[in-house]
Amino acid sequence: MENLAKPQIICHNQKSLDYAIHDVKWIPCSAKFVAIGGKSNGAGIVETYQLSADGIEKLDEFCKKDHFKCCTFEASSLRNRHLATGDFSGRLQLWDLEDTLTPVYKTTVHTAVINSIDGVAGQSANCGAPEIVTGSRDGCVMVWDVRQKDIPVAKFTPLEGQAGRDCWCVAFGNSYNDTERIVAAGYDNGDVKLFDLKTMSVRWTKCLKNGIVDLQFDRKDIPMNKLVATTLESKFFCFDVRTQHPKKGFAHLIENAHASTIWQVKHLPQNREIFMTTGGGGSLCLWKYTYPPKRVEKDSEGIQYGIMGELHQIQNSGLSDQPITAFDWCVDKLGLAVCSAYDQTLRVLITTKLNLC
Amino acid sequence: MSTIEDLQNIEEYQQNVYINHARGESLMEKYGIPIQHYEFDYVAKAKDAEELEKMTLVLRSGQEGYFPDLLRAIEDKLQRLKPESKLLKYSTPVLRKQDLLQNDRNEINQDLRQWVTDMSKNSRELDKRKTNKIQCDVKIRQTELQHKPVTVTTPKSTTRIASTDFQAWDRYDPDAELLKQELEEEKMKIEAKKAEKASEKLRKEAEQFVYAGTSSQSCFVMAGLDRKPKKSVSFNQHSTETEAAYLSDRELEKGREFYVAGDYELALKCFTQSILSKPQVININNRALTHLKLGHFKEALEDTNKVLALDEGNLKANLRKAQALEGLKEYENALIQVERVIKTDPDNDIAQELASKLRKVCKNTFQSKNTKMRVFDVI
Repeated sequence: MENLAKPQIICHNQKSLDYAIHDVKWIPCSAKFVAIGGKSNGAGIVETYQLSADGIEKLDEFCKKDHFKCCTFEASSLRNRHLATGDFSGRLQLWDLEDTLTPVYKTTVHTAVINSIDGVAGQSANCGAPEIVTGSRDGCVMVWDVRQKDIPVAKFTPLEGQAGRDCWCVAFGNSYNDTERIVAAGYDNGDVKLFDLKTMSVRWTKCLKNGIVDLQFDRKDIPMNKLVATTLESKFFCFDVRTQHPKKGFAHLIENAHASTIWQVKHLPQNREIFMTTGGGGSLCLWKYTYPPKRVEKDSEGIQYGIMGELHQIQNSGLSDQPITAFDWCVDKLGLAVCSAYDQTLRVLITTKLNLC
Repeated sequence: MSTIEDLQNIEEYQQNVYINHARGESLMEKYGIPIQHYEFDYVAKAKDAEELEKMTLVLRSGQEGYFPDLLRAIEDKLQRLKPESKLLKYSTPVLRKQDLLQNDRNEINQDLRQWVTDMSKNSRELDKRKTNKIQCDVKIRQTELQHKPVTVTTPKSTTRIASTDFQAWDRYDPDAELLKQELEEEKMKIEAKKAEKASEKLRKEAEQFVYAGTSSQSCFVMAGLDRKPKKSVSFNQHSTETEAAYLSDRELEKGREFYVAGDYELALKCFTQSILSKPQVININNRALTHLKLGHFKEALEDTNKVLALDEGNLKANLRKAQALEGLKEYENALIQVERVIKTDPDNDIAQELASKLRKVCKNTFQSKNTKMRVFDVI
């Protein structure tokens, strides 16, 4: 009985490929997705797939010089749907998938591999200019506006003369009007930093003592609400970033899962309280956050501080025996997702009954 | 399980015992549960889920030996007492399509096929209108980053005075330091108050936005929140139907989340945005509900009327209209409205409750107005 009410993860289709897949993303407003990665001869590859009821078929592919590491569609409009990619040599490129000879936009400011990329405001209105943020091994986090050539619109660099820490993940958030915007960045030494783009300052920083593999706000275009950060050694942190206490900072809770590195955290686009984490053992965990009766309390001096709710694990499934390194929910269809693992296999997943929980 | 496997397990567990004894305290000693409790009769009668959880941990650790049946009994009991226990979460393999029942499989396939066709149509529409231009009225971010890059690592400024450094201690003035600390705390408080005010302002703005949205025509979109209702409007924001529907859906989802989390003002803003992109029964209905929650009965009534104009038989809208009328103290109209709902859906608890409440109120007002008239209950 219990099993019937619980969301089930179903592997709809899978396909083995002949290259290392680094990232997968749905093309918004379509039944297509892209897989990017690199071949054994060092070339980077982008492939487009079409989903049908019976399987997945390859539509298109193109190869470039360097391995592609990460990609996003979120900074371009629905009518353009340009793919922004970061590659192993530190180039940020923007591709028109129908004309891939030369990129629409490109920069070469980063000096090492771009580990992570995120976009904002491409498909939603009233939340500022479309921007792309990149985090790289050279320790820099840069924010780009495609209308401005060669120079980033914002740049967060390590102190001069110091070797920066490897930035593993970046994410946008708090972009609820034209001016406010925050970039969250996670580093290999366990630092999580929130950069405020409006005031150009470091808003908050905390060391979680373990490399931050991935982080994500529950939604980008609302006043920032929750932030989830996953770490190398089977722990992830969930912060309530609504209320910041000057001494205590943000309230948070820690959860143990996967018994290995947690590679990805991805919030369900249709419901921000539900998110999926993917593990190094090839497992998938689905979580649901419930708010406490009162989210904000006041301390003895009348200063507000946040209170955490609870996290419930609603599903724990084994999919592969290799780390699942990329995962993406489909924005247009509840429960549809695509993921890739180190076993060089693409999988299309369907999660049922998500509307019931 | 075969006997050989059992034997292997026992051996493994025994090895474990040695390892753990070397470390000292065993789990059983740590939890302090008496040995008498590790017994089927006790487990059958047990009521304390926490103790059972601990016993499960002890048995799973294998420090006391290998008792598969007892462990199973405890787990079964735990399942009954505390089904949400973390210890009972097992990893299940992802289902393959072949594992599903034929019916479910067909349903999923059907659903997916339909979705793929719809999506492909939308996608083609978007492709036709491809511009390759970036339309955005927000300016490019301006920062003087060339002069002053924000550094990621902040240098440590506070140096501790060594306990042997007497000269430094002589220079140290505790009163001044205390004062400094107090000032800092004061500053912190002010900052916190500021943040609090900012979040309140956000709510207010969200609410104001709604009024701006409802009063203006639906094709006008207020350009920015922080600007006062200046007539800086962008006309016909979405050139394709698909884009409008997409945005409308996204805002609807956002609104629902806010509603569930209890942020009604922000929910209202999202629903309004959604309606501005594309008016649909579902988003207007949701906004009506949010208006009700916030006590804006007039707006709620307007919204329900809009829904009913689109879809006359909409049960939720009818019920919400009744609630709005009740809020506006038009009890008779509310009663008529709610009875209409009950006629179509007699099992609706909210409607029944509202109806009985309204009947009472109506009776009272009736009696107070015309004391001489005899009142017959309307059934």
